[in-house]
Amino acid sequence: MKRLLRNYLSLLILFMCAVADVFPQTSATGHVIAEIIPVFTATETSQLNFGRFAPGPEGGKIILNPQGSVSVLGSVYKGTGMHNAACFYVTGDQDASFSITLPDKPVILKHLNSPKTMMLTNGSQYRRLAPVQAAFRTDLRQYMLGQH
Amino acid sequence: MFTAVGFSQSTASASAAATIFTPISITKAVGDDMNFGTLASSGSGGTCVLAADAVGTRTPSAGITLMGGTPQAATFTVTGIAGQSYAITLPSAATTVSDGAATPHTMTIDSWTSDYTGTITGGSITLHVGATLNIGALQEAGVYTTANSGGSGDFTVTVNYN
Repeated sequence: MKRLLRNYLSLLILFMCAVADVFPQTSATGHVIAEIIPVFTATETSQLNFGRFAPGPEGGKIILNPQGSVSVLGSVYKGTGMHNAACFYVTGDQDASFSITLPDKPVILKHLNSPKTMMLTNGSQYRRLAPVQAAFRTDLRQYMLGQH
Repeated sequence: MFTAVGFSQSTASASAAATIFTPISITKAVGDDMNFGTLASSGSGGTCVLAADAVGTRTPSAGITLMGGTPQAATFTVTGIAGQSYAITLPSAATTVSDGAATPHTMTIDSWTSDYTGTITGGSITLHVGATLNIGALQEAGVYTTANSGGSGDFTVTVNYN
């Protein structure tokens, strides 16, 4: 009788251990999702070029608009030759909106063989909805000519 | 002639008791999967940490731009004995998501986290699971999931009574 009872208790303990070890644990699974869109890039395809000009005695300004037209103010005289606005090729996600940030401080141009300088100012910023691979021109448009 | 001698019978009684307890369970509703939303990579790549919270907070590293989408931590419901402490086991290894292309592009997810508090308050609690997405330099554009061909399959979260 004692032997039977001992066997019964042993089986009961084993069962309880098994139940305690296995039964309460439970699991669930989940997906992971992420979307990557194309990298935004801007590549310069044309450099900002004011072309040739001659400064007068009072100095002045050359204004180059995003369409590539040049006008002058003060005693500056346009010369012949090529001039064009800077051009960048932009790629990104289709129909994504983006903004551009132009220099907020003047850019100083230094003469190669003298300490004379000219100052580039008045960059501005505009925003547009751009299809993928849209090309646009900068709105950097005013050039200040120092005294010579 | 019969005799009862040698066939005496004895009896004893014992009480028996059993306690049926509520088993612990963890479930995830459809649509409660982990979602890192939309991101843009750069030439250097980087990471995006998705917090284990209810609002899908993302923290990008340098080189990664957050671009919207519907980011959210994976959300599970744990039910069991009210007030009972429990343990959680998150994946110990990285999981891979794939864009499902013929030659799959992949990203890995690791550093799993949760907002585990240790107790099944009120008999049912919501559990959020977050992780870190590792994005390669100039990562190929596309929708990446663990279910796509080339992915490692779903991740598993396990709970158990303490």
